[in-house]
Amino acid sequence: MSSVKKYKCLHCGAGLEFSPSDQSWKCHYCYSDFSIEEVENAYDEDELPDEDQPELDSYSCNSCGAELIADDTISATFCLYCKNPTIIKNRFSGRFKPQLVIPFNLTKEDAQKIYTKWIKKRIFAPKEFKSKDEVDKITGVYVPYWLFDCEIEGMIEGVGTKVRTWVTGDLVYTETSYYNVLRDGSCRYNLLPIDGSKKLDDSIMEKIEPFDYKKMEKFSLPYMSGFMAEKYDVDSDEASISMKKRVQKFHEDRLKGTVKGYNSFKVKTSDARFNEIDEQYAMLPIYLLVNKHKGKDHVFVLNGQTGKVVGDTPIDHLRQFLFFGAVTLGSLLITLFGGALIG
Amino acid sequence: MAKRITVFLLIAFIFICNTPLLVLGENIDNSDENSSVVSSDANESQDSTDDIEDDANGDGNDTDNTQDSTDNAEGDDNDEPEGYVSNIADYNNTLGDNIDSLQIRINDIKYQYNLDVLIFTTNVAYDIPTREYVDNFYDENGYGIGDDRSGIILVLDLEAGQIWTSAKGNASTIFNDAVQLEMYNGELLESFSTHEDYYTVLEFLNYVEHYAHLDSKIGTNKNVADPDGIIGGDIYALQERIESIGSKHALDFFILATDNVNGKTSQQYADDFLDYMSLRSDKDVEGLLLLIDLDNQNLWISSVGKGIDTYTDERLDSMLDDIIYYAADGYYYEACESYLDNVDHYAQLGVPYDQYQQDEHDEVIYKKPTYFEKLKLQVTNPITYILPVIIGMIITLIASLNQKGRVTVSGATYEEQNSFFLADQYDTFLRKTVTTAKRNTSSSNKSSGSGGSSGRSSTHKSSSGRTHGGRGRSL
Repeated sequence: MSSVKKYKCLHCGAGLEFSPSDQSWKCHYCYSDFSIEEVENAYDEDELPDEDQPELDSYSCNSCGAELIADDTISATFCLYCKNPTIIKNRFSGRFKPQLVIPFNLTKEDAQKIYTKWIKKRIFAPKEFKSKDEVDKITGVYVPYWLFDCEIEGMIEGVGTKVRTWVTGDLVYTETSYYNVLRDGSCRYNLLPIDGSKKLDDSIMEKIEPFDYKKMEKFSLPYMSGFMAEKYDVDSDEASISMKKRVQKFHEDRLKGTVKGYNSFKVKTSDARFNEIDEQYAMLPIYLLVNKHKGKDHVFVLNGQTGKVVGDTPIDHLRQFLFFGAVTLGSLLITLFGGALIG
Repeated sequence: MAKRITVFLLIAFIFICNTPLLVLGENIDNSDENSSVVSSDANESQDSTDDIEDDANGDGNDTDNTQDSTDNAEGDDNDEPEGYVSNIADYNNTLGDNIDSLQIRINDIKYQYNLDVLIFTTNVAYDIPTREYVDNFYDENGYGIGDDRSGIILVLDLEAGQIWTSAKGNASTIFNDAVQLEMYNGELLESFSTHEDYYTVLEFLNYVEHYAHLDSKIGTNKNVADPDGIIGGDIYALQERIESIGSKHALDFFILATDNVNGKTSQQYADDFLDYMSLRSDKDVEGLLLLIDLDNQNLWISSVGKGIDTYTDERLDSMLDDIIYYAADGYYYEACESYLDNVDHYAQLGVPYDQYQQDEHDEVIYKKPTYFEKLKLQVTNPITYILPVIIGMIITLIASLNQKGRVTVSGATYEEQNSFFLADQYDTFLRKTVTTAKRNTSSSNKSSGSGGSSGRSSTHKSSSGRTHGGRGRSL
């Protein structure tokens, strides 16, 4: 069995790619259209093994035979030479076998349009960020995610104040009452996503949430065809540390919400215990564009399902200064001539 | 149209002759006569003048009358110097019996201001220029005081329906064209047109005295008048400084210190003096006058033209605060220096952007400045520059905010429905503190009403009808 997988058109044998706009597999060569059942049935001999598969020294494209250029975590890519979508099956096997997938909903063209619109608003972004080449570099990527279910039991304790004022004669009385406030409770959280890729900054990935879990499917390898994909390099134990931090914060806020009737409340101590932690491995879709500017990475991330955008661009100080000058000059003319008009 | 031509020809005539003479036509028909005046050559007019003199002498009745009044006047003023002649030639016998009192007034003026006054009435329609005739009459009868034979003539030509005046010698400086025009435009023409000739002459004498008095204050320095030696010190230094400040700000500044304001209030006198400065320089003076009035024991600053706008009430009050500090103790030179310091300071600041004028009836006068003036105001207003920079900074800052995107999920996004369970809650009372503070009685902080807006320049009209601003303080 080959370690590298390629989905081919059932009619003409050309490469098959998942098309987000039709939610089906399209042959760009003969325009055939296949559903997930059709593709899965045609390739049903390829059940993903539950055992870990050994990493090979190199993988080669099964269309043209060229060696695949892919770093350790890349699990789906394109052959550099024949441009065919290629999936390294070994990296979807054993402990790397995902349980769930949210298929792409936006096409690459959609993503490019969104980026173009977004970068236009970044008036101080350096010119190269707006070039056509840059827009073409946008890539659809399946990011490895851990989706956690858990129960948290936690408490917060702090001091709340109630303030009362009244006036007698010329004096204003202010009475402040202090209370010891304690709240203890439990709650369940489901499918909390923590990204399993070290390459991507957690704080950015938090911002492209939420994903719509209703469109989530059982993982199937053909979904990867036509996109880049990564396998996780943050395992579930490591990810659960991030998860606990987030959930504890959620729970504290939840408990604070029950503290009512106080003018101020300050948490002094808090505590939390987690039960029934359960995680599922899922591939979630994003469009990614990484720009290097003066040795620093600037990331543009687009939720491949919902279209939510996160990103930053450096500020070109010359552009910023020119903009400031133009606005100042413009408003100077208005205050001068307009001011004289109404003055 | 014909009237306009008349006026034009008259003005042209005045400039050609280069003598301070002004004629104001009452009758439109006179245009022909006046143009003939311009065209008639010197010899012709000399001839005709002789004719008229004969005519005048031939009219026995008129001459007798004049003689009578002359005698009377002589009788009243026995202490008059030698060479005295009656100053009223009332050939038309139109001034009535009070002619003596007029002569007394004239004598007063002569004595006080070294200035001769000739009143001449006629109703004979001459076809030669009356002006030349009267001038000859003035010269030949020995009118005029001093080497330059200083004096002023008023002619009431009842036949032609004209009045005109002519000034000779030093008097032509006091009563220049502008001053003479001012007289016409004042009461003179009005009372003449209603045939109150006596009052016309009386009014004329009032004017003559008014301007002669004001003129007597002006010394060798154009802008600093100290006729009674009140300021003392180096007046010329003050004059030099006042000139340099004036040319720097394109405004005119004056100082007048006197112990005689001829029975006027400080405000009236300051306004009159400023108005006279306009007439003397034959341009509209725009600026400020400091009057040190020891007659009324007052300081008064009068403003005119652009000076009204620059020197608002608030600024004038603040100036007076500084000036009175010296003036109260009699340090008038220092007071003048302080005045000039302030004048320079506020001229530098220019017109406050919230400046407005408010007249004596408390009506706010919105003078309609031209767009260019408003633009100039806007250019000097620091807000014009500060505001755009602030706007520029704010807009640039907003545009620079790196909208990296926001976290839009919360615990609620992932919380299982109805899974939250509050197991325990305590709210234990710990302690209580009570603080007291004095009540803020903000109502007592209200400013009292009389202060008014800082940009106000209150204005009033002077006797000549010009608008002035001004503030004063008693010494």
